[in-house]
Amino acid sequence: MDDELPGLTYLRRLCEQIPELEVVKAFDNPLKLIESLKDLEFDLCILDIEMPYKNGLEVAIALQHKPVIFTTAYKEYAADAFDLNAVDYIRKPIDKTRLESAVKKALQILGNESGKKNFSSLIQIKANP
Amino acid sequence: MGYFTLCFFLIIVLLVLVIIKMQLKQKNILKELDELKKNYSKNESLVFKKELEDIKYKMNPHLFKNILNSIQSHAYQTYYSLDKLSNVLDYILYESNKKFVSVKEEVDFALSLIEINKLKLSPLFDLQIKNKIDETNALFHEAVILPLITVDLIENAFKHTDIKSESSFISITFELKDNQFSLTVANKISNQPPMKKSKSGIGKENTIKRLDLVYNDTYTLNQFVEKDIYISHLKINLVEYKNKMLTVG
Repeated sequence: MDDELPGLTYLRRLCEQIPELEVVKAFDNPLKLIESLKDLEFDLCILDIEMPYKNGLEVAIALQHKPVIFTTAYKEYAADAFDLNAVDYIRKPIDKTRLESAVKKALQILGNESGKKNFSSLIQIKANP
Repeated sequence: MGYFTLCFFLIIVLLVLVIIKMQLKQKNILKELDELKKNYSKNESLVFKKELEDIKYKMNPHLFKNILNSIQSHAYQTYYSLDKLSNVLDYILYESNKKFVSVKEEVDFALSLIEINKLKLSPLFDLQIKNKIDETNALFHEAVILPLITVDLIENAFKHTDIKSESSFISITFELKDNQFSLTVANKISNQPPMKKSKSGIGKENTIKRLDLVYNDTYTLNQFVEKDIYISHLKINLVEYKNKMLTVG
């Protein structure tokens, strides 16, 4: 658990630097995220892929059409991720400008769909319980 | 008769010879098999050794990518918090002895202070900062706020919340709207007693004393408990305060 929390801290810090984003909640356990889905209101989810119990791709399916940005150290999952209509796919270590451009993409998609352009909240998941 | 016995004898001898030969052959085969077995296990252990070596050099490189990400996390936090701490120190050194500061200055300072406090928090902790400051408001850049007046409310929230508990939270809202500046801090109360300090309560008393002396009846500070949530709500009517100052002096 501790091993991965620094990664989550970093991601959260970066997200908080992006004015268009509001961090709704951060998770380190994919099952907990799925459990609390019905109580959460958000427009975007940033997901790690290699996680215990359920990997990020499975979680993305459970999210049902919410835009997802994947972050991972692996490049092997990229094809699978885009099959799931991922907004973007960011490789670790995460670069802030790279994350910003991914968020811009997400905003465009959200804007096109519903016209609520300046409201985007976020959930991020990472790593090991 | 003699011929038949001879024949029979010869056949027996032949059979015995054949049996002996076959036995010898079998012994040879067994010996070979034994050797093969030995060879096999020798080779097998060689293969294991080789595989082990291979694994050693093929260690998952992604592991290091994740570690790199973690180190970057620490580096970024260090860099970021140093910057915020320097803002806070600057403010305390150079601005806090002024009589008044602008809303912008005080809020920027408070946000830096919150950033520093975040170092103690897990990324999973539920901290909500809402900035509803209207930056186009004429009061935004006007020196009308007592410096450091927001400190006590914010520090208290971090002091009295159990930051390790999953269900706890802190929510801080800044607002500048029309005539009014307000700060709302809500936090879940910790079951654990706060850290003992030799001086406690001075912050709150001081804050109230300063508010009373300066803003008098143009401010309200409500502090109350709702279930297990502690809420502080500070409102200052800046326009009313300014008008009062004008008529007085």
